[in-house]
Amino acid sequence: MQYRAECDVLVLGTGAAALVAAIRAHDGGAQVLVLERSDKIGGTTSVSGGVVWVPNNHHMAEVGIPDSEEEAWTYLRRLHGGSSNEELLAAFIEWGPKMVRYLEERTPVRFAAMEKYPDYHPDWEGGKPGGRSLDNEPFDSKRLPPEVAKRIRKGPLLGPFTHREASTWGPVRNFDFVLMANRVRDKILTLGTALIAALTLGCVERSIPIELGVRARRLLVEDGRVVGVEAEENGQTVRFRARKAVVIATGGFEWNEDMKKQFLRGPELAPTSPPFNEGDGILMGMAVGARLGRMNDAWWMPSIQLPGEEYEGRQLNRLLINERAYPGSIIVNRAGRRFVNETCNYADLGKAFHVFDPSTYDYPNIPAYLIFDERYHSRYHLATVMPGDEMPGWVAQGNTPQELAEKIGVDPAGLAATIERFNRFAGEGVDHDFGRGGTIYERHYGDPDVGPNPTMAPLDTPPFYAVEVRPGSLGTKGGLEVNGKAQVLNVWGEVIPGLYACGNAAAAVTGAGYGGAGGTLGPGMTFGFLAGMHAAAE
Amino acid sequence: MPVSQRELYIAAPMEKVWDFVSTLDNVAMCMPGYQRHEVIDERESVWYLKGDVGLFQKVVAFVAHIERMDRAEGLVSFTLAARDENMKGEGCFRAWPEGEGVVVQLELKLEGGGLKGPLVNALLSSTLPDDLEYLGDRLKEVLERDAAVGQ
Repeated sequence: MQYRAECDVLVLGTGAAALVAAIRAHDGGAQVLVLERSDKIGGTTSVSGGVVWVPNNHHMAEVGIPDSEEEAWTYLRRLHGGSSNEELLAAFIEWGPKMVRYLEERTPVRFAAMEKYPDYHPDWEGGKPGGRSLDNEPFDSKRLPPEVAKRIRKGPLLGPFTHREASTWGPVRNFDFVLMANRVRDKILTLGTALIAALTLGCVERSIPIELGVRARRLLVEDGRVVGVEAEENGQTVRFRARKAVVIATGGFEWNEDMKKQFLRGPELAPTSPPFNEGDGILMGMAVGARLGRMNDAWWMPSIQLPGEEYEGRQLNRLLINERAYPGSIIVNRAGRRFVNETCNYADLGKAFHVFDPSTYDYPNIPAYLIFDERYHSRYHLATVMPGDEMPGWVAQGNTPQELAEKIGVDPAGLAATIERFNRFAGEGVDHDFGRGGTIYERHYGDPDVGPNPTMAPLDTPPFYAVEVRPGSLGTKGGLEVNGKAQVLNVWGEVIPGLYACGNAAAAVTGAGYGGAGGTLGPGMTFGFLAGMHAAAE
Repeated sequence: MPVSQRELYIAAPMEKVWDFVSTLDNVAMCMPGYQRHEVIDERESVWYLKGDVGLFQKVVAFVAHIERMDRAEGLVSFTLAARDENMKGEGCFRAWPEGEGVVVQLELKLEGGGLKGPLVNALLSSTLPDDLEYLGDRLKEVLERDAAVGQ
């Protein structure tokens, strides 16, 4: 059989999990080759906040937040609630901190603890008020060879700030847009793009080849062992030989409509990742008998769409994060009723869209709407609309809640009653229905100048506004089941020799839960690290 | 305000160049990311342009309004105001005969306003020169092709 190229370890994908796997496999003595189906390096990581959630990481001591393996266990056990397994959690708890230290000692990756950014359940036993989520230091893209720098995928969703800066600035009116403009001018990258650029430089320093425009489609198996892949390149079928192992890190399946329909627990209408995550790696694994896990779940993210915006030829879906927690906004369903604590973490909020009504046989919380008033508009942003900007035509508006409701097809009496009730709670600062702003995480995105609850203010200043909120996701959570070495298991729970998986192509390590900001990347990169280490040692 | 200027030679008669650029909708069709346009009246139209600031693409509707049109000076100037975006700008064409063709000076200014203005302007500063390059190339291509057909 003819091969287009041969290597020891073949890594599929270029997100952070993939690049960590490549670096660690190289450092373990393997000859590594990385394949990426798109024409850019970075995968889902590049368009993300780039935060890496790792309990008990060494940066926590720098900001005076103690942590321990025991506390991590306590928190993670409650978080996964039986939906993951202790072998995976043990590997994550042990190797996550080692992965962080390794990258900082041997690659250009630099982290800093987000001391003010809490776990998503900071009130639980073992939860922390900050420090487990690691921010990336800004990265000067001029450190990369120019031909590589232009291939780094840029994130369309978040500005060139660090999370620590954003935490300090608070609402967008305090953002330092001049600093951000200077970063654009000087080609300084932040967030997920910075993480990818730093990891890519780590690959460049090791002469690890990254080949773009090569889409792996099938695993090659000899005598029960994975020995390479068949791929598409420029319309041709080519084969790559992997003497030791193949690492699947091709992301989730949130852009594969058929897989979403077959597997997900409910509608996913707005992926925020690059539109190349079509479950390629998961399908390849399925074809060789891999066991699947958590296929019904996703890293849910309520999302909005602005007319005319595109990314890679598809509708751009925008994250709805701060807007949910700013005072003077609520989220309602078609009946005009609130149905969730708007300030809870996005992944758990997303599950509330999937409440199924057995009488009407539909999802009453789809579509949902973010409702806010003019006072909100004068103080806070909505996607690209800043305080002081003229409200664009794509935002529905009405002089009364009833008039607004009529325009968006929501029950007018329901919306009016909801706002009246919420306004009473806002005056008191206590959300008796859903507990909005009840934890330090939920107050994080509020307005510190507003009290007694920084996430609540009455909606009483017309006009009233609405935008549709969709059940979107950062990516899907289900994928190939692995063991604590990141080896892919077959349907009988046995190792498939020569095959590893990590990132969103693997079943989520933390199961149903989301530990904190970076809860995707932390486990993903840790299992990338494990995959690279063990694959090189095959 | 991010500004970009370009001067180019077009091998076409002055009369043809003037007739083309003084109908602003012809210019719209040569703009990068042109999707469509709507004529409001002889001095105003709406241009739907798909912009790319390097992060994502967005179709923005600009109201283009002719401010000045002076055939004797070979001058057309216009303003641009984005709908649904805090962004405005202006453009200018100045043309004069030289040899058997025409020298055309192009200028395009575009500015983001409001809180995020500095960030938008930083992005525009990097893309506006490419946009004007495209506009100049398209004008030259269309006018020289038409001139060749007319010969």
